[in-house]
Amino acid sequence: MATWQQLSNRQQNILAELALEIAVIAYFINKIMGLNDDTAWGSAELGWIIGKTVVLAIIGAIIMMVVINRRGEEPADERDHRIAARAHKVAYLSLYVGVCLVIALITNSHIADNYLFGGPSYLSAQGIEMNYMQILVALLATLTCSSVIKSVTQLYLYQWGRV
Amino acid sequence: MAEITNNIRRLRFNNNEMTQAELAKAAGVTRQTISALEANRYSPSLELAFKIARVFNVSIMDVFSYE
Repeated sequence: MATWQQLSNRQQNILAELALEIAVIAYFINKIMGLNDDTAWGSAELGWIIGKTVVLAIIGAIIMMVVINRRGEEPADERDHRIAARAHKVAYLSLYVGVCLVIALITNSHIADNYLFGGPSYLSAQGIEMNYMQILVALLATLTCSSVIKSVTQLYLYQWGRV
Repeated sequence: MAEITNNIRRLRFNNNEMTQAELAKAAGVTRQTISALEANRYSPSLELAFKIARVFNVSIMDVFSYE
């Protein structure tokens, strides 16, 4: 396993991005878990948590951008572009699957019941319908997951992959 | 399965023990790309293959082979 010094500037930046993404996810999950069971999904409390998480992610991204600019990122060459393209492809696929799942959940009375589960889905059997806030959380989770997958794929390809 | 192999490490050694960083600078890529090439973890574009051959002043077939 390579140490921090052995990693290239670009790999360090990707690793830092990944750490930020995981930190934001951890913050969000921690806050969500801290909610009372009777907190309504559409409540202002939950909206406030999502708002704070988004602001935190934006501040983190700005700090990261400043740090990367100060360190001076080396120009990308053809291997960097190829690795980025592969990582984007994998991330796109995961985003596609995630969005399809969210759509299936949103319309679970039709798609999930008939095609995914071959009968009444667990959600519809429970009489659970997704509200706007749940849809928002699911979409945010999908976006974040695909971003994490992109970073992990890039790190893997830089370290061990054949491109 | 056939793959592209190369003699870059040997050519560097024969060229006054040129470092990976020096070759990278001459070919216009990062040192990590040269390292990946030597480890056969990266197949270069035709353009990069020609650039590397030009740095060593040899033909492309003397640097890369497909076997």
